[in-house]
Amino acid sequence: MTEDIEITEIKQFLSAIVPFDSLSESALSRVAKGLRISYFAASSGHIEIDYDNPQLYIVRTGGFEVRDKQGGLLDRLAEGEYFGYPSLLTGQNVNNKVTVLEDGLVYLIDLTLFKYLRDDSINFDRFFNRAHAKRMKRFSDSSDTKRVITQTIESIIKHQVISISPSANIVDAAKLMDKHRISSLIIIEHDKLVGILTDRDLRSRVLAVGLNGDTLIESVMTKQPHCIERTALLFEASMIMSTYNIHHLPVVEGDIAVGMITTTDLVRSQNNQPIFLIGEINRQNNLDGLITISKKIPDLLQTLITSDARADEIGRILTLLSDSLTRRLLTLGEAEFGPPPFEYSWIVFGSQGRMDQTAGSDQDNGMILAQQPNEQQDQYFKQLAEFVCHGLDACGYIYCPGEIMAKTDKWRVSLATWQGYFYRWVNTPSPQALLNTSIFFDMRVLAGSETLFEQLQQKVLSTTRGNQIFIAAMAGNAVANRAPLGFFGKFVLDRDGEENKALDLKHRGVALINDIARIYALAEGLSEVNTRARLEKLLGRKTLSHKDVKNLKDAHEFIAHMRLYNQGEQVKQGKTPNNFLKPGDISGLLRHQLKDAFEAVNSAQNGLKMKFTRGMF
Amino acid sequence: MSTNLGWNKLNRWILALKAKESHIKDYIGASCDLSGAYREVEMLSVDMEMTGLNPKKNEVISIGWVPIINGEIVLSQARKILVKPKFGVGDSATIHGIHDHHLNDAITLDIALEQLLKAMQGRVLVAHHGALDIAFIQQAAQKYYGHKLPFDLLDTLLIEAKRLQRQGEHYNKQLLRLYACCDRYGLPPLAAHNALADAVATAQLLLAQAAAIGGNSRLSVKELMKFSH
Repeated sequence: MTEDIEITEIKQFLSAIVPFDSLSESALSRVAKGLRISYFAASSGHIEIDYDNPQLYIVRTGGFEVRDKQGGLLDRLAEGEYFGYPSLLTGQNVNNKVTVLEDGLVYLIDLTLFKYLRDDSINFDRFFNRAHAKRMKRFSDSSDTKRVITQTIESIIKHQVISISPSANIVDAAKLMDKHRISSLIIIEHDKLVGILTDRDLRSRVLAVGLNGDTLIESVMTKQPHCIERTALLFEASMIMSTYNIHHLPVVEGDIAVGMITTTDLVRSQNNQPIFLIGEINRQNNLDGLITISKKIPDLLQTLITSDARADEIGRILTLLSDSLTRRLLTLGEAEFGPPPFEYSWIVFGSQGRMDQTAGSDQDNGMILAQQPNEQQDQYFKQLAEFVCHGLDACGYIYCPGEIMAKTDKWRVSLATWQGYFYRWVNTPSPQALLNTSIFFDMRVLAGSETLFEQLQQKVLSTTRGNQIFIAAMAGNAVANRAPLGFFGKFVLDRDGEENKALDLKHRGVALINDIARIYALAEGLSEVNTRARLEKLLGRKTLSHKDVKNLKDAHEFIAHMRLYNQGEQVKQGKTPNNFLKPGDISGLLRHQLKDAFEAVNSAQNGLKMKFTRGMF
Repeated sequence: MSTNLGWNKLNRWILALKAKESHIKDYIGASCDLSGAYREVEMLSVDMEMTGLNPKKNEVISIGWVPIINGEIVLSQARKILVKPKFGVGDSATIHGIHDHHLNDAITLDIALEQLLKAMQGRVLVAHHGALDIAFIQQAAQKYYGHKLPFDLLDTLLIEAKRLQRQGEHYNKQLLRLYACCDRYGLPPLAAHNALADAVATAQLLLAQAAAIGGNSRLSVKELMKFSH
C-alpha cells in the first residue's frame, strides 16, 4: 500500500505565492506532486534552457537574473518568483539569458502541467499573461474608486468661462451675471486674467458707496485675484478660500482662465473633513487650540489611507495642513510680538517643500530676511521663529534633528547670506558637504514676501543649470545608496539595528527617486520642487526618456503608497509608524510589484550615473 | 564494454549467478555507468524508517524514494511504502510518528523489497548514512533470497563529512545530521522523520553538494563517489 506522496512543505510553499494561491485544492496537489526540483550553482554561471521543453521555473531558494539578448537586465528573481514563462506562453524560443547569482533550488513545471494550471484558474492564467505583457504598467492607476477628498479642481469645474472686459461698465456686468445666473465674473484683457468681479463687489463697492451704473468694471473689480491651477486639489482651493476668506477662485492653466470655483462647488463636493480642519486652524487664537486640532491629523491620515487615496495626494493634504499650522502660528506670533521691522519670507525645505509629508515628519524651515538685521531686529525674528518652531513641535512636527529651523541663527539670515550659502554649496561642491544640503534644494515659500524667495530661487537655479561639477557631485551622492536589490538570494536587504529583515522604504525607495528628480530639475534649472511635478516637467526634455519618467513616477507612487499603507497598518496595531516594511507582511504580488519599482529606481540611478558622473565617482 | 572489470562488476556477476528469481537477476544485471556525468546517470534517493538501529533485531516500517533523472528530482515518480512489522512499532513511534494502527494496510517486507529493487534498477542509490539502510536491505535480502545484493551508493553524509574535512572544519555528528546539512546549503526544511520527505531532502542535498563540488565542470558519478567513502 502506498501512502499519499504529497510533500506538505512544497504544497504549503506554493499555496502562499501568487498566483498559485488562486489554484483549486486539487490543482495545487497536482503541482506539488508533479513538479521536478533542480539545483543551480552560481559557479556554473548561467542556466542552459532547453527551448524544446519549456518550463516554468519557480525560485525556491537562491537568486537569479534574466537578461535579454542584448544583455539588458529584465528581471532579478528571488524566492517565490518565476522565470521561463515567456517561452511557455508563446511557444517560441525566447533568447533570454538566466544567470545564477546565488546557489538555489528551483521547482520546474512542464508545459502540460502549466497548461492544466492555466485552465484551472483564470487568475493563474492572467498573472502570467500580464507578467509577460508588461512589467511596470501593473501598478499604475488601477483603482478608480471615488476619492472625495482627493478630487482635483478640473473634475468638478464646468469648462465655461463667463468673462467681460475691464473697460465695460458695471451694468453690463450685472446683466451678464443675471443672464447666466452666476455670482461672479472673470475679467479678461488681451486674453489674460486681470481680475474678478463678484456679487459682493457690486454691493459693497458700488451700491453701498453710491456709484452709478456707468462705473467701469476696472475701478471696482478685485485686481490680480488669488487663482488656482486646474490640476490642483479641491482641498487646496478650499484652503485658499478659507485662509483669505474669499468665496470665488478663478481656475487657471498658466495665464489663461479656464473657469471659476466657488464655495458652493466645494460644499457640493462634500470633501469636508480636511476643509473643516483648515477652517478650524484658521479660527484658533492660541497654541493650545492648534495642538488640539493637530491631534486630529493622524485620524485624517488613517481615513485617507483606508480610502485608498493616492500617496502623492495624501502627501499634499498633510503638507497643506502643516502649511496652515505654520501660517497660523506666524499670524499669532506677529500678533503677540508686533509687526516685523521689515519684510521676511518663511521658507520650508525637504518633505514640506516637496509637499510629500507623511506621519511623523519633522520640521525643516528657515527665514529669509529682506536686509541685514541689527541686534534688536534679529531679536524680534528670533522670538518669532522660536514661537513658530516651538508651536510646530508641540503640534507633532518635531524639531529637526539637524537644527535646520528658522530658530537656528544660521538659518534666519538675510537674502544675501542665503545666496552666499547656496553659492558655496554649488560652486565648491564636495560630495560630503553636499550630503546634508540636498533638502535645501527642495524649497518653497510659505508666508511673507514671495519676492524675496523668488530672488533666492532664481539665483540658485541660474547657478545649478548646466553646472556639470555640481551636478556630478550631487549625482555621486544620489547613487551611493542603492535600491534594495543589491543583495540576492532573498528579495530584501536585511537591515541592521532593531528593524532587521525589513525594507527601508524611505531611504532606499522614495528618497532615491526624490534625489533623482531633484538632480535632473537642478540640471535643467526647473523651479518645481514636488517630485511628481519635477518628473512631469521633465517629460519631453532630452535628459530623461519618456519611459524613464513614466517608470519613475509609477515607482514613486507605488513605493510611497506602500510606505503609507505600512504606516497605516503600524498605527492600527498601536505602533509608532516608521519607514520599515517587513516583506513577509505583504502579499506575493505586492512583493513582485515592489521589486519592479525598485528595479526602476535602480535603472534610473544607473542612467544618472552614466549621464552626470562620467566616472568621476 | 569497459575493459576494467573491477570488483564491483565481479561482485554483480557472482551475485547474478546466485539469484533465482528473474526480477533479482534483472536488478543485479542492470549496472550503472559510473563514469557518466552525474546529471546523465539516473539515481534513486531512498530513506527508511525503522523501529531501531539494529538490522538483526529491528524492523523496517516505512520506505520513501524519489528518482533523480537528468539532475532533476522527479516528484511524480516518488513513492512511500508502509511495511508491516512482525512485532509492534514500540517506542520508535515517538520519532517517526507511525503507530501500529497506521500499519493496518501496510505491505509485507518481501513485497516492499521487490518494489524498491524495481525502482532502484539501473540507478545509483542515494542515501544519507546509507550504510544503515543497506544493512537493513541486506538483512532482508539474505532472508528472502539467500544472498546479498550489490549497490552503487552515494552517501550524502559521507560526502558532507569529506567536504567539511577538506575545508579544515571540525565536525561532529550533529553537524552531519540530514537537516543540519540541508541548512548549510540554504535548502528549505522538510518534515523530518518522514521517509519520503527525508528522501527528497537527501536528493536536494546531493544536488547541492554536487553543484558545490563540480561547479561548471562535468562531474562523473565516480568522482562524486570518491567523496562518498
